Amino acid sequence: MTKESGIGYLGSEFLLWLFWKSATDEKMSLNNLGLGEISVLIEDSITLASVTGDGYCETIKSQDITSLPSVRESMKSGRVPQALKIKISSGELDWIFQIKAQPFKISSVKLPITGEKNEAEMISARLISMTKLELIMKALFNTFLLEREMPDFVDDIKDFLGISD
Amino acid sequence: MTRLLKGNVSFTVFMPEKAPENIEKVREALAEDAFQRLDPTDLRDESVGWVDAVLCFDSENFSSLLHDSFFVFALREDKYSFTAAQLRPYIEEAEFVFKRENNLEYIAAQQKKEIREQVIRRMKTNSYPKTTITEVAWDMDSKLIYLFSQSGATVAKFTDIFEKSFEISINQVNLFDSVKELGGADKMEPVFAKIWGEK
Repeated sequence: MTKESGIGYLGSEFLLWLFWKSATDEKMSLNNLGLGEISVLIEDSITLASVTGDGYCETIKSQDITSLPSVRESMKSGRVPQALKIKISSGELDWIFQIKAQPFKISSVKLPITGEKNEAEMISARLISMTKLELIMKALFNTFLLEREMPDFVDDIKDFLGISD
Repeated sequence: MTRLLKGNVSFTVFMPEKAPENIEKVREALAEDAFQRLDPTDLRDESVGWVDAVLCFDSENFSSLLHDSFFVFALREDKYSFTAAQLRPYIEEAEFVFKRENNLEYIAAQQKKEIREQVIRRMKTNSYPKTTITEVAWDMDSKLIYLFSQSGATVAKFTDIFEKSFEISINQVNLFDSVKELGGADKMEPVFAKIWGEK
């Protein structure tokens, strides 16, 4: 049995939450976990698939994806992110990578360029930035898990997507 | 060039049941299953073992082993593999020559098998095995192990050889592990039905 058995839906929910946060929050605080402030930005690619079972699946490539009316309309009608290309920034460090809902994983991580000239220092810097990304993603996912249990969570997402009761 | 230095990375994370006592224990474990180069006359078609992460031909010195709090090394897999289409012309030629030299109309199954093996040996002599290098970084601060691959076959191969070499069992780490840490999935309900199901 995989770790995703029965809770695989959390992957898509997390991607929708990331989309929402990137569109509405300029900065997110992970201070309580010692990770400072970060920003999440959807880069130039999003794959949407239908939750209603109509088989719709489309990958959209564009700048400023969170502001595209067609993407918002698509999501409003029940199409949720299955894959995103995102950029996470923390201080002067930027990570750009793909995140997929199912199987839930991040891949093709472009690690921050930190300017070390020495080979050994470059290896250390890349490894440290990789472990920091791991911590940030865990903190973000935990924040999402806590927020999704809040009473207003569903209504807030509905408001964001423009879905009326 | 090693992915430790350049390029985009995809990785799988593992949590070991324990950390090594010291760097010497790590060296001993790596030496236990150090990579051994394949010889074309070798009966084996593949060889898997540990190499240095930066100098991937080195399976003895591991001079790049320690980087800050990380032990870094790599899994090297060399494999000879020929497709049926690659083998076909050489096998057909060898069988044709064998029949003519022995004045035969048919070749027995056992003889065909031997001809095939001879052809494969000859092809191995004239080619290099396919090599795959997968870097590993073991963080002694968090204890987490980072394998620079998400391929199911590589993950399985790595898990087997790591557990054998280090005598330490490892488990894959996933963001979903947080669900258990925060109280389990039993009380959770998908929110999509609440968003789109109540229209």
